[in-house]
Amino acid sequence: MSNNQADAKTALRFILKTAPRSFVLMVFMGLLNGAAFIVSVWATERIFFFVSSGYSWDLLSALILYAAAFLISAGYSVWYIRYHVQFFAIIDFEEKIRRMLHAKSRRISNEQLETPNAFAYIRQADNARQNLFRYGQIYVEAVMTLIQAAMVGAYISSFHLAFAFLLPLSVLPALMEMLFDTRQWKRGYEMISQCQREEAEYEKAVVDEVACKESRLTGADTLMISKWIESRKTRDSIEDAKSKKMLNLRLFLSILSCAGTVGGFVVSGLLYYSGQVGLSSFTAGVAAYTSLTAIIRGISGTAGNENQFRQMIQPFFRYWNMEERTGSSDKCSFTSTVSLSDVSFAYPNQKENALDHICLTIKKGETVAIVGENGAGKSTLVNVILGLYRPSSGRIKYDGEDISAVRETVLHIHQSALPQNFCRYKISAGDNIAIGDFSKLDHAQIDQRLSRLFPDGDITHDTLLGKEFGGRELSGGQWQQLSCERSFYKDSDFVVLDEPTSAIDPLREKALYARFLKELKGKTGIIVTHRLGAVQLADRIIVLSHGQLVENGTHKELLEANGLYASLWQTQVASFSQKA
Amino acid sequence: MNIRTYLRRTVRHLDFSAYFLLAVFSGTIPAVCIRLRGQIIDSAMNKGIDGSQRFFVLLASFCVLFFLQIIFNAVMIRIAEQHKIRQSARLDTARLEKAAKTAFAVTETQQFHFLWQKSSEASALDDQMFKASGDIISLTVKLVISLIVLWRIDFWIAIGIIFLLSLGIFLNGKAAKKTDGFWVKYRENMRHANYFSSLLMQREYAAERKLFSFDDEIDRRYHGSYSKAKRDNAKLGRERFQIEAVIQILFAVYCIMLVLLLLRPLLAATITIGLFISAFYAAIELEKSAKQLYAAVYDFVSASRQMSSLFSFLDLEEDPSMQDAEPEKEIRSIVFRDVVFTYPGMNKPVLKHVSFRLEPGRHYALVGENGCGKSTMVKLLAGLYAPDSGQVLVNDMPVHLLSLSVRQRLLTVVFQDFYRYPVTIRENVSLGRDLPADDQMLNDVFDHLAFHPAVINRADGYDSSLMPLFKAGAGLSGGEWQKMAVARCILSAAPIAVLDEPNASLDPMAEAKIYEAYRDLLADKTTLFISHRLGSVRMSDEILVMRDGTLIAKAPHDVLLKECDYYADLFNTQKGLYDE
Repeated sequence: MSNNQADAKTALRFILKTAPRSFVLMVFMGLLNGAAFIVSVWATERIFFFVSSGYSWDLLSALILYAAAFLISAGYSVWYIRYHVQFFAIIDFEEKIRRMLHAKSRRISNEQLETPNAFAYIRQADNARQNLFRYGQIYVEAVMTLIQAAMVGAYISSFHLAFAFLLPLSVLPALMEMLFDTRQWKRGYEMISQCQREEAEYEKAVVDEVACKESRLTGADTLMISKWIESRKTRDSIEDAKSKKMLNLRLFLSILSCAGTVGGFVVSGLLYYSGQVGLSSFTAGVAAYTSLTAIIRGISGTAGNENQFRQMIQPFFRYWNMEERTGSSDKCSFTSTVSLSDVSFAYPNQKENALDHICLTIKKGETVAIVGENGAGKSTLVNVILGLYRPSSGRIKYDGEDISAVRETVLHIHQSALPQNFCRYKISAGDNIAIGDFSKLDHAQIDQRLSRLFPDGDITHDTLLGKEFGGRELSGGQWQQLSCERSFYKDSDFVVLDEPTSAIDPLREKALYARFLKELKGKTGIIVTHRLGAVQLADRIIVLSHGQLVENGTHKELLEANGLYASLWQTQVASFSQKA
Repeated sequence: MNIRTYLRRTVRHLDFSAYFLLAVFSGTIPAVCIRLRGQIIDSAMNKGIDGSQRFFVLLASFCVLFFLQIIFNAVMIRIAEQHKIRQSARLDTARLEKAAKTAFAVTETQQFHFLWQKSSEASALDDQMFKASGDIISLTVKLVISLIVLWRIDFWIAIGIIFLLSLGIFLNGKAAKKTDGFWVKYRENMRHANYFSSLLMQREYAAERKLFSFDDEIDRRYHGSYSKAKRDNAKLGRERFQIEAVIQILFAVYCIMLVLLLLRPLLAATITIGLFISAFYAAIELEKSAKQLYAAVYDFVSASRQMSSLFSFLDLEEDPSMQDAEPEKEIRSIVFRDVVFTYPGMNKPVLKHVSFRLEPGRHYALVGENGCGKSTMVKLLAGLYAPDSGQVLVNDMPVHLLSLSVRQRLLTVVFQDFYRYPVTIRENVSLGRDLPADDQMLNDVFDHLAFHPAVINRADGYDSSLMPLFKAGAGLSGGEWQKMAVARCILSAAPIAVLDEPNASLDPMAEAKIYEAYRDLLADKTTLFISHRLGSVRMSDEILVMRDGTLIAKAPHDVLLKECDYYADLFNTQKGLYDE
C-alpha cells in the first residue's frame, strides 16, 4: 500500500465536507459562546460600577444581562458540548464515516488486501473515525478561542495599552509548551507504536483461542511474557524520559508565564492606584485577564494534540486514498467461454509472479479440476478467473469481452463460489444461506437445504450460529457444508469450489462430490483440490506447478502423459495399495 | 481482590500521598485568592500610606500564590504521568500472567475472552481514577474554603448555595444509578453493529462479500443495530441534560438574588465593596467547582465500577494441578480407564467409557469421523481437561494433576490448528526445550522435512523474526508453518508425541516425504497420529478406531480390515476414489 499521507489542509477539508452542518453549528455555537463571555465581562464591570449607587434599573439590567450571558455559556457547555456533540454529532459522524468505509471497501480490488499489514490497516482506519471529528473540532475551537482572545484583549487594552503588551507574554509559554510537546511526541511515536504492536502479538500468543492449549504445553507462555515485558520496558522508558523533559520545561516556562500574569496584575493595580482606571474596570479587567489566560492555556493543551491527532487520522486517509477498481461497463455474460490469455499475477509488493503466463479456455458447462502442490497458485488462479484479483498482465475474457472494463458488481452477478477460507457468519442458520443472494429470498429452498444438512432438526432457519453472540457452534465440517449450500443457493452460471472437502470426513466425501457434480450440471464449474480421488470425475484437469500451467487434459490423457499428475496420482494410490 | 483492597494498596503508595498533598494546596490557592482579591480592592480604596503598603503586600502575596499554583500543577502532571506509566505496566503484567495461569477449561469459555478484553481498559481506568481522586480532593478543598468565605459574608447566601449544590448532587446521583441498565443494552447493540461492519470491511470476508454482494443488506443491518444503540445513548444524554439545565437556570436566578441581597448591607456599609466582590466571585467559583466535582466523582465512580471487570478476570479459576513431581524420562504406560467426558455447559458426553492402554515405544494411529472425539482425547491426554469419571494415567499418575512443567517434558503435541508464534525460527522450533536448538540440529531436521523457507537465507538466518509485522513473517505459507510445528515436535525431548492431523495442509507429495521423515525422526518416541487419510496411517503398529465417542476397535491395519466393518468401510471408501 502506498504512502497516502494527508496533510492538515486536505484532512480538514475532507472532515468539514463530510459533516458541513455539524461544523457550521460548531462555529455558530463557538461565536455565541465567545460573545457571551465578552458580554459577561462587560456586565460584571457594569454591575460593579452601578452597585454603589444602589437599586437602579441600570444595575438590574446589567444583572439580567449577566444572567443571560451565563445561561448562554452554560447552554454551550451543557447542551452543545456535553449533549449535542457527545450524543448526536459525534455518533452520527462516526456512522457516516463507517458507511463511507463500507462503500470504499467495495471499490478496492481484493488483491490489494493481500498484504501482511492489511488487517491492521483496516482496523486502524476504522479506529481513526472518532479522531476525525475531534481533529475538525480542534481547529474550529482554536480559531474561535483566538477570536475570543482578540476581542477580550482589545476590550481590556481599551482600559490601558499596557495590557496589549502583557497579554502575549502570558500566552507565549503555553504556545512553547505545545510546540515542545509535539516535537517530543513525534520523536517517540514510531518506536512506541512499534512496541505496542509487538506487545499485542505476544498477548495474542498467550490468550488467543488457538494459541492457548499449545502455549501451555510448549511453555511458549513464559517466552511470550518475557518478550512482552522487554518490549514494554523499552516503551515505558521512552515515555518516562519524555515526561521528565516536559516537567523541566514546564518549570522553566512557569517563570515566563508568571511574569506575564503577575505583570498584568501589577499594571492593573498601578493603573487603578494612580486613578487611571476605575474600580469596576480594575476588578472586571483582572478577572477577565485571568480567565482569558486560563482559556488560552486550556485550548493550547488541545491544540498541542493537533499533531498527535493528525497522526491518528492518517490510517483513515491511507485507506481512503487507496487505488480503486475502474471499469464502468454493465455488459457481462457467461454464455460461451471464459478465456485467459497470457495472464500473469504478482501479489502487491512481491517481485515473484504467483501466476506465470497462463493461457486457458473453459467452455460453458465444463467441469474443470485444478490440482497442484501447496503454493502452486491454485487459489490465486481461481481468484483471477473470477475477476476478484486483477492480473498484472494478460487478459481475461468472458464471452470474448475483456472483464477489466466491467463494473465489479456486475462482474460477479452470475458467479458463485466456496472460497478456501469460507466464512462463518455469526447470524442465523437461514441467513447463513440467504447471504449468498439476499435478493432471492426463497425460504422453502433455504429450509430444504438446512434440513438436508441438519437432519436432526436441531438447527433450523432461525437458529443463531457461532459463540460470538451466544449462538450454537458448529464443527469445521458443518460450517464448510453450510458454506457449500450457500454457494449453490445463489443462482449462477459459473461456480468455483476451492478445496470444498478440506474439513469433511472421507466417508462423506464421495457422496459430496457426487452432489457437487449434480449441482454443477449445466453450469461451468471449477473444483480445486488436493484429493486426487475426486478429480477423475471432472471433465478436464489442470495441473499447476510454481505458478505455471504444466498439464491440461482428461484424467486418462494425463496418466498416459506420465508427467506431474501421474506421479501425484501414483503416490496416493500407493498409500492405499495392498503392499505394506 | 476487590476495588477496596486495590484502592487501599494504591493509596499507600508514595505517588499518591505527594499527589494528594499537592491537590490540597492547589485547591486552597484559588479559594484564598478570591478573598485576597477583595482585600486588595479594599486596601486600594483606602489610599493612604498604610493602605498603599498593605495594597502592595497583598498584591505581592497574590503573585506568589499564583506562581506556586503553576509549579504545583507542573509537578502534579509529572506525578500523574509517572504513576500512569508504572501502574499500567504493573496492571498489564498482572493480567497477562494471570491469563497464562488461568485454568484451561476456563480459557475455552466466552467469559474468559470477554473479561480479558474488558480488563484491557484497566490501566486507562486506573489513570482516570488517579486523576479524578486528585480533582476530587482539590475541588472539595476549594468548595469548602469558598463556602467559608461566603458564610462569613452572609449566612443565608451560603445556605442558598449549599441547597443548590446538594440538589445537584442528589439529581446527578439519581441519574447515575439509571445509567447502568442503558449501557448493557447499548453495548450489545454496538457489538452487533461492529460485527456487521467487520463483515463489510475485513479481508477475510472480502471474497464472499464481492461474490455474493451482500453489502447493501448487511449495511442496512449495521444501520439498524447502530440506530438502536444510538437511541439508547440519546435517551441517556437527554436525561442528564435535563438535570443539568434545571440546575443551571436555578443558579442564574441565584446570582441575581445574591447581588440584590447584598446590596442592602453594602449600601448600609456593613460590608465593604471588596467583600461584595469576593462574595460574587466566590459564588461563581463555587458553581464552577461544583460542576467539575460532579464530573470528577462521576469519573471516579464509573471507573471504579468498570475496574471490577479486572478483578473478576484476576479471580478466574487457576489450574489446580500443582504436583511438581520429578519428570519421568521413561514411559511405562499410557492408560485411559473408563473415561467419560462432557464439555462444560454441554449435555451430551463427547467420550463415553473409553478404555485402552498404549505401550511405550510403539506407534499408534487414531481414526474416526469428524466430531467423534479424537481431538478431545488429545486434550485429555495432555491433561488440559480432567475426565468426568474414569482416569487418564501416564505411568499410573493422573495426567491432569501433574504440573504444567512436568507435562511439558512428558509430551509434545502438534495441534491441528497450530499457532504461528511471533518469535524467531529458532525460538519457534525450540519451544518446550530446555536449551535452544543449535544450527546443526536445525539443519538436520529441516533437511529431513524438506523445509527451506526463503527467510533462512537472510543475514539473521534461524534468528530471523517471524513477527507478522515484519516482512519476513509473511514469507511462510500454511504448509511451511506446519512443518515448523512438526520440527518442534521432533526436537522435543518429551517421550510422547501426539500429532493431530499433521498433514492436513500438505499436498500428497510432501505428505509422502514427511511420513518417511516421521518414521526416522520419531522412532524413539511413543507416538499417536490422528488422521483423516487412512492410507497414511496404515503403517502404524496399531490403529484405534473411534465412533461417536466410543472406542470400537484397536488393532493393526490388516486385522481391522478383516474384523472391523466400520474401518473397512472407511478405508475402502477412500481407496475407492483411486480405483481406476
